[in-house]
Amino acid sequence: MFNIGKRKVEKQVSADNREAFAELYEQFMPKVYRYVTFRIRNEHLAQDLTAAVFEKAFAKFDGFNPQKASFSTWIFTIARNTVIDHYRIYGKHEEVVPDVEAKTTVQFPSPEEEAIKAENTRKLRQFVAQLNKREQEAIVLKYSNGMSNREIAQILNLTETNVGSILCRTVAKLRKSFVEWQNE
Amino acid sequence: MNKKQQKDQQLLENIDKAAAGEKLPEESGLDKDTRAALEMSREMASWPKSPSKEFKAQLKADLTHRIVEQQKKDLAKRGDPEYRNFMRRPAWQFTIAGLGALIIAALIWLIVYLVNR
Repeated sequence: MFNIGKRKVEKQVSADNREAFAELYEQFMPKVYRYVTFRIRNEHLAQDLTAAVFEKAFAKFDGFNPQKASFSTWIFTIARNTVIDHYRIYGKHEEVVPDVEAKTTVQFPSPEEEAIKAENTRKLRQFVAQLNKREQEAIVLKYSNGMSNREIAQILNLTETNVGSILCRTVAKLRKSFVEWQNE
Repeated sequence: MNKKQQKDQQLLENIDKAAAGEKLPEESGLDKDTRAALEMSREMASWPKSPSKEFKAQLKADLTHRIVEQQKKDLAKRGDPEYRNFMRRPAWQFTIAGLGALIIAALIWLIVYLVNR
């Protein structure tokens, strides 16, 4: 899904850095935005951070080396660091704030069911926010864009097997927390 | 591969499908825990939002503006490449050389003419 060929990127970069950047923006901007909105639920803030990611990427694009990493790995590393910097500066409290802006496309037969669904989602988000940093990163990269374990491994600097283990363990952990909460 | 590894492998494959928004296989063969984990995966995969058209267009316009500004700066630094390319064309170089030779010949002729006068 994310494998933009190294040769293609290399050709684009050497042909004209800025035109190549404009093309890559079209391809990656929605993906970066999805990644950011998974972690930051305030829409305006997510837009600001996505803009910051591409501004940084544009400023650093001359230094991007497709021999070292794919564009996907490179841009998501910038996105990840931008979100980390945001939380470092403004604190982590926003991650557990209930998603009041969330709109569901699923129609529920009754308001009660809709409320239960919203509460389940809010709780699940809280559990995700309580995971350790590495588990959270793996979950966000996996579910925001359906990245392969190899791509996640490159971004997080882990092995593919490690990523697989982390995902299995984390999903099981989330499930356990969720069941315990429901049984309370 | 032992039973737990097989179960993990199966879970990972289904997580990939859920994350990519693909239809999950018939779930009757899956145990209760795996089924519940996949339900959760589907839920999480529905969280991220796509950018609005307005935001996408606005950010693109901002970045394009920056790109154009940067290109202008680069052109100012290096000189206009079209102009430089024109100057490098053989026909143009031949014309310049020919004109130069004519001017020199005319000057020599003028000097010789003035000296002999």
